[in-house]
Amino acid sequence: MLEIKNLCAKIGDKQILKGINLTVKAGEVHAIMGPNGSGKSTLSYILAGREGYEVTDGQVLYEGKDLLSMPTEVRSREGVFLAFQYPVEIHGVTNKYFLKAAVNAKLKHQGKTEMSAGQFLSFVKEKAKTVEMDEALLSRQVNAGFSGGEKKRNEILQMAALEPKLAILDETDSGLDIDALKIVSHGINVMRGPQRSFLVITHYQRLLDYVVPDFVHVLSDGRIIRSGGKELAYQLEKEGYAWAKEEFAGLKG
Amino acid sequence: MKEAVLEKFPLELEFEQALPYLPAGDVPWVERLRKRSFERFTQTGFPNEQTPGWKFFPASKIQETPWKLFEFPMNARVADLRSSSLLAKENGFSLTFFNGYYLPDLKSPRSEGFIAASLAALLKNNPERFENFWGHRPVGSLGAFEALNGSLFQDGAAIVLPQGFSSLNPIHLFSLNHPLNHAAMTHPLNLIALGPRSKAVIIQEYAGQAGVCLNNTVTEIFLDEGAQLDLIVLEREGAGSFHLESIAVHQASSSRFSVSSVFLGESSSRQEISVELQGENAECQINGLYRPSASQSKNIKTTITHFKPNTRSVELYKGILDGQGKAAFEGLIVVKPEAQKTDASLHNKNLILSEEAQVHTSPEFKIEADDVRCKHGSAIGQMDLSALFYLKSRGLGDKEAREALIYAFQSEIISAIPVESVRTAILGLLSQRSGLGDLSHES
Amino acid sequence: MANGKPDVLNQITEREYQYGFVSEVEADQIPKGLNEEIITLISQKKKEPAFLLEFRLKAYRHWLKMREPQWANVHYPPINYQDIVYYSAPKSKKKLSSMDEVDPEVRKTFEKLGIPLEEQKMLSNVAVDAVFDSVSVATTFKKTLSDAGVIFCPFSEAAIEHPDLVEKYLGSVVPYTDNFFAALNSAVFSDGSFCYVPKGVRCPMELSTYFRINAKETGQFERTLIIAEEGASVSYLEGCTAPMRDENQLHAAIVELVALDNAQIKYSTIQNWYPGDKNGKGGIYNFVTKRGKCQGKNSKISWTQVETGSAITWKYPSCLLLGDNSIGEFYSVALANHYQQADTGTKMIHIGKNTKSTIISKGISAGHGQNTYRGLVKIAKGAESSRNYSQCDSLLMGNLCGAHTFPTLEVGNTSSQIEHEATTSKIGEDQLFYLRSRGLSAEDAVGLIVNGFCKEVFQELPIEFAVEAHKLLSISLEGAVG
Repeated sequence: MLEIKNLCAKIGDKQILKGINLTVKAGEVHAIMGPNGSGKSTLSYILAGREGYEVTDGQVLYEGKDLLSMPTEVRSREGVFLAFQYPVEIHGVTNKYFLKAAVNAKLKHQGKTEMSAGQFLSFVKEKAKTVEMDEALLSRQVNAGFSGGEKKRNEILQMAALEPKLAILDETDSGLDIDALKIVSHGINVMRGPQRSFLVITHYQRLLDYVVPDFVHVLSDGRIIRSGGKELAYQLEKEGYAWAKEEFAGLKG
Repeated sequence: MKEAVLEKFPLELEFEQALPYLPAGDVPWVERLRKRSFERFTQTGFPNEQTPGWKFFPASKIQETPWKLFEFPMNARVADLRSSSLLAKENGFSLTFFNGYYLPDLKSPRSEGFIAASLAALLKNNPERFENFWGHRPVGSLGAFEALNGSLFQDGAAIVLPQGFSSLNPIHLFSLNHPLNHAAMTHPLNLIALGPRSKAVIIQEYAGQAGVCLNNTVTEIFLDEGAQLDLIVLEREGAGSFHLESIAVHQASSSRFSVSSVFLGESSSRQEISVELQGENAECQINGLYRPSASQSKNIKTTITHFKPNTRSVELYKGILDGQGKAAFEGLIVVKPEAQKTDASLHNKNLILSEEAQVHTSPEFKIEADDVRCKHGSAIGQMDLSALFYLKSRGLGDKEAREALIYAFQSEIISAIPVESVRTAILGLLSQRSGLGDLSHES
Repeated sequence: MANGKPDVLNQITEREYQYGFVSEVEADQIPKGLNEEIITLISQKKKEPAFLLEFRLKAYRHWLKMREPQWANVHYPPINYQDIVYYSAPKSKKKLSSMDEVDPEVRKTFEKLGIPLEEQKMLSNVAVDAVFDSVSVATTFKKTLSDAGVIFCPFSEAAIEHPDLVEKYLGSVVPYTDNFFAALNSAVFSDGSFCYVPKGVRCPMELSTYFRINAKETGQFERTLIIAEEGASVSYLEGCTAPMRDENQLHAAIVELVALDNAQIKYSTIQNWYPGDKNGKGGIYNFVTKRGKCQGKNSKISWTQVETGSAITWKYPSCLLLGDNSIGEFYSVALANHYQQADTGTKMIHIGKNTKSTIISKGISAGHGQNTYRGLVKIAKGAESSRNYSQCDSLLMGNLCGAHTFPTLEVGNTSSQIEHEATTSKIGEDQLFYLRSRGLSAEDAVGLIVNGFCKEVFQELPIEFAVEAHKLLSISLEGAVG
């Protein structure tokens, strides 16, 4: 599904990623953990195609194709979804209208017939139900005036509607209270399936209590310094990132 | 206007007669500056009520009056005059100007480490020091009254802070006018220059007795890199007088300027403020409160120009209009193409208390950069009746309830005044005017 | 990333004008120039009653004494008023008795513009008056309307058929002395629409006039007069296009609305005159005076405009709120792309008691466009308990354009309230990235954001035209985004 090979990137003169290697197979859930400033968000933005980052080395293959050469919107239509850490407000545009435009752009890209307003409405209401979201969200303006939790739930609703093959969740748990966290996690879990992979980026292990990953990677200073199973997350929570860093230094030394 | 020139321009005679006696009259560049300024004045002529931006201001009355310059007050003594100051009890550094002339005050502490003196005296002794500032001053864009000031200025304050100097106590500039039996005018010119990273608080207080006089002050302010100036303007001139002031501020990078103006006098007054944010990260905050009643009129015109990126400006003027009071507010924010990431806000709110009061407000934008955050708002309204009812239902009398709401309306401006003693003095004055006790302690 | 803005912003503002074709129509034109003979000739051609010629000549003589206004934030070379053809009409071989006799070229033109003149092809609930250069060529659904008692016809026909109404109301809202362009229009106006809705009648369909400038070197000076009698209501929409030409053409129209007691008029404009090319060459000078008079109590006049065309727009649809409890509204989207200049806004003059007005203005500047909102809200002393709310938002795309806001508010009593809010923003790169990461192309993303920005205005348009406005805005912006 996704193959990241020796990915190096910088912003301006600052080298952020220093050689990331990661392979995600279909159906797998990978968690990427790391302290602030380790490059977690940079990785997710580069995968989604945000401008302002310079890839200095390495390669990213998505379903065997060169992901980095695709424009942002094509990546999305091909099935890559990024749930934003800070979802953006678009005033005057309803969620419904926006999602219909997005879903139809994808259908068109796939050479399928676009949905009519009526078809879309019943489609998206169904989706809202499966991820247990209030369909009232649909009639509101995109993220405008949403609370932090509502914004994150809205991201999950969009994910459900766009049915991605690869979903990247960038700190989706940040700023959520426990109830919202449960709703969001539930949304992610019902979406899990053999054809869909997840890259869950988080600072805390808390989310991983609800979304249990197959693999955990520790990102520090632009590199993956440790990989393991879900137990790695608990170890990190207990012993802190310093422990992983030291070990990595030991390995290198 | 051409005809006016033919039949001798107003004030031309006065200018010709006064020129030899004005300070530094023998310094060539000063004389040139005065003449160029007067020429500019003959081009602009006096504004009138139809001149854009001069609505409600009785400028034609000024034009019709045969003004004479105030003469030097031979027998005035500072000690007798200081008591008229609202801040008489303050013992920080102060300069007193009577009818526009500086009066030395032996009791005032000396200024240590910075210059604060009569501009006329400095100009006489040290004219070359000022040539840089004013020798080449462009006069082409000056307004009528600024040009008149440039030609007829006779004194004012010069305050110069060296690099890194921090003035601990507020510097008080007290200007008092006692009208004569003829229409008298004065044109004070102030220069305030703060060196890099220096810091000062300056209070400009204007007081005066009732009578026909004209105070036309110009204050030029230069803030070097990282300098900080808090200015407080307190106007309470007498009935029948005209108060005009123009404040021009030039800000270098990372400098900070704030001004709080409070207009409580019985004069017809007009304030023009122009701020040029010429360096990155410069910021200014402009606050003001005007309360015309009887048939007074208050005129505010401000222009803030963002020249450089990452500059910020916040402006709020509030007006309370009673009696036949009139007010016109005109605020303009200009964002030049280079000034990306500008953050500007401009607001004007007015409370009308009487049927005869009139207000005109015009908050304007000219924006030529795209990555900016600019907002403006203005409101004209009256007392919130539901709030009034609420207060009365809690036992306040009608008058008390109204005053409480007025107090709340103006407190946003008063509370931003950075010197506590000035805040207290103004609140005292306001509650005295309303005939109620001091509300400041109840809140 | 060029000039620090997303490339996507460049591409969208670069697209060409779609209605720029010229139709080959034989025209009946009078010589260039302006004098009393020309005015008399126009009046004769239209077989006008004497009072109209007199009105025109008075206006012309007044115009000679006036100077072109200089206060607006627009810049253009001096206009030579003697170098304009003041009357041009498609040559008709005989008097038209039915739609089929409209010159096939003219009919084709309107079809190309999406305005078929055959009733069966049209939106069934919209009556159209089609104005081609100086004259009205067709008015549809006349029968349906006259059954309801509504008069909807070309202005020149009204001058002959209903001279009493025309004489009573012409110039009653915009006197010929009002301003330079109003005086000019009053002297030379050629055609336009006239609408009269009698007492108590709700007009059964949307009325619409479509203006087309075709001939070269002509100016268009139409005049629209709408009267809603007591308790009547009408919704009217105008649209306009012109061919692409290198020289500028002048359009100076007057619209007068009169609403009596309890009457309502809704006037919508989708203005898409040729804006000039992307280097600022050519385009229409759109200098228009529009004003409505809420004469009766409880009357309401609502202006909605979507201004995407014209090289220069100078117009301030205004409301004079005379009747107690009357309501004035102004909803505007103005776009200035390439080298377009738009100086537009409104005046709300509150005279009657308990009058209300709302102003929602959305300005979009792109390319080298200059967009100015200019407004006046005045609540007179006697207009007790009146209210105004204004909101002016500007959206900037690129850093070569400008947005200017000049509101003026005045209140002369203590029981009234005015509130004005304004903001300026740009399309954020984070917004674009967000939308693109959901699969939307850059152009669609910009279109979505811009339409969201204009939403409060679009929802005021009659439903049939809201979609059109939506599309038009996206097209006009193509090339604004790169």
